[in-house]
Amino acid sequence: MRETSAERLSRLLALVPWLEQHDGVSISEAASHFGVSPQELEQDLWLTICCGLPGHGPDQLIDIQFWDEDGSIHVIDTQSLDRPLRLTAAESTALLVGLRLLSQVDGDHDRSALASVTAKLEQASDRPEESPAVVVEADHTEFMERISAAIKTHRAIELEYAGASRDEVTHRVVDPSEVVHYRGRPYVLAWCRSADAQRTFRLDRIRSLRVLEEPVIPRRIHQEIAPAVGVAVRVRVAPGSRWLLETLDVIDVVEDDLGNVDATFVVANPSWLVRLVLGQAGGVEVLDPPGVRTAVAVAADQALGRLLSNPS
Amino acid sequence: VATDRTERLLNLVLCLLGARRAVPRSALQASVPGYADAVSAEAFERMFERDKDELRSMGIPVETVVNAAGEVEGYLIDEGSYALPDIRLDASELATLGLAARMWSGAALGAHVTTALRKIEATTGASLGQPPFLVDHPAPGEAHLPLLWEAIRARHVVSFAYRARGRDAMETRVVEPWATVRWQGAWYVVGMSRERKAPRAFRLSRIHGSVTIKRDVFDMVEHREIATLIEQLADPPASGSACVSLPVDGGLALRARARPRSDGYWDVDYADEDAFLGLALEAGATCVEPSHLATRQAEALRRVRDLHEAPHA
Repeated sequence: MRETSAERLSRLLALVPWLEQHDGVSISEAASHFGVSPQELEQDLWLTICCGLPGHGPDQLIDIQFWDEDGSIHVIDTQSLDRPLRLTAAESTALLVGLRLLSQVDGDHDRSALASVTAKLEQASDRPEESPAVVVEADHTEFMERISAAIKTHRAIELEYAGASRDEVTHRVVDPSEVVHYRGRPYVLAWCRSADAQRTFRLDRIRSLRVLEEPVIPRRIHQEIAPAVGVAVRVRVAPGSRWLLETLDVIDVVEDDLGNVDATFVVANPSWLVRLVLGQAGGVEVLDPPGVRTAVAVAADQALGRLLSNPS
Repeated sequence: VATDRTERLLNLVLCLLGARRAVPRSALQASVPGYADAVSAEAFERMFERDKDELRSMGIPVETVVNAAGEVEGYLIDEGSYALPDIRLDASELATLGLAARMWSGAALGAHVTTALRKIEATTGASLGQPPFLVDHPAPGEAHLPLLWEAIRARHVVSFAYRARGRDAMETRVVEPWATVRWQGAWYVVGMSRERKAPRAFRLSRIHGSVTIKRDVFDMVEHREIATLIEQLADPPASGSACVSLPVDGGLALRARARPRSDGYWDVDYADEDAFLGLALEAGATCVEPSHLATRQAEALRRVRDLHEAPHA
């Protein structure tokens, strides 16, 4: 996508004061810092040194030297551009929300630095009373802290977990390895002793949690959400149910003219999928495999039987 | 050769930023390279108006100075309102800021985070580096946030194509945006819906295409009202109550909200009938009362059964 004049101007306004603060930096370093190619950065510099105060005499132009053999850049005169433009709403909010999210994740980052840098950034932001209101829910902070503590001290934990795939509460002893964020939600990666396999637990599905005295059994844990193992299911999703697909890893997505979407994803436990399809009241149709398709029809028929046999 | 637009804009900024007094249009026309290219007075006016709007939309405070008679004397940029104030950060604060930048996926907010860090470095002389964006899956709809934040700050009405949950049709919504909220892993914008004339929350992932910032400006509501609205979003007031039978095991989500009765059935309050029905269907629960809910449940089950009975062609 071609850059707009405003985007390029934004970079130039940040570039000049930045170069002044980082005297002697090389063109390639500066370029990678600003996320552009060295050629683009050089073009930026050529454009900048043609600009200046009215009159545009030699003393009124921005003066930057960048023709040394080692490629280093030296700012001689910024004219009035020695300070960066204040942060835009998107810039300051992105950092402030990032800090807020960071305060909710596990890690040994400095909590007092987190508070002080947030305060300083809020102060530096344009008219704080007008800054966009952003609310971020507390993501199960209590469990998060205890899991982090367990990870740090290498303790196993006992979980009461309301799994999605079986719609029941299970008790397990797991060796936690890491808390990760995936599609906006926190998860704990762990070795589940009951299943004797790596499992991923969604923090908001944990009902209760106890850190055990028992140390973890060291194991190799994949540092990512384990790929689902199971049945590949193809579904047709009506527009009104499309939001469901957001949280799934879907492939082979095909959309028709009416907004229906066909997609395939891997289901670890088909009974979870059957319930999901029932809950969508016709908004989701299983196309394949035939066994799962039949299972949906049977489950719907049974539920209908229960409903019609009710005394009401 | 026509002057590059970026070059013209940069010269305009330098001219206004260095000025002690308002710079009249005539002086700008004479001294900013590029304006001389304008073929007529009208062409210059159009060029200048567009440039002024562009600078303002970037957050550059271009002030219009008006004299006692109400005539425009000229323009200037106040250095105090232009410049980012000094932010003094120690090593540990800088490291924390670098980590915070990584909480976003590069795809959605990377550019904004990068420019923010560069500006902060330019006041501190520190080096935070290019944030390695570790989150490779942006939360759905996250990419709409920067525009919405700009609109909220500028109090501009926005519009977007929206597909409500459970609705097949896409509708254009015009909204006075008040705040963005992250709730249960999803982002929402809350605000006054111009169609409904009532406050509503819109899930960003259900916005189709992009958000458009309109020219109309609105009056921001009190912070307190926003907080109340968000509470209702999290915990909406009940609009009805149903009596259900629950399966022996399973039905966790429903059971957690249900009150047991002496006859073995359960009472459940719900805020949204469609959402409740979906939950009951998913849980394998059977609605006993009210009867219209039992009817709707039966219709839904027949629909699912009929849809799946024949093999897929």
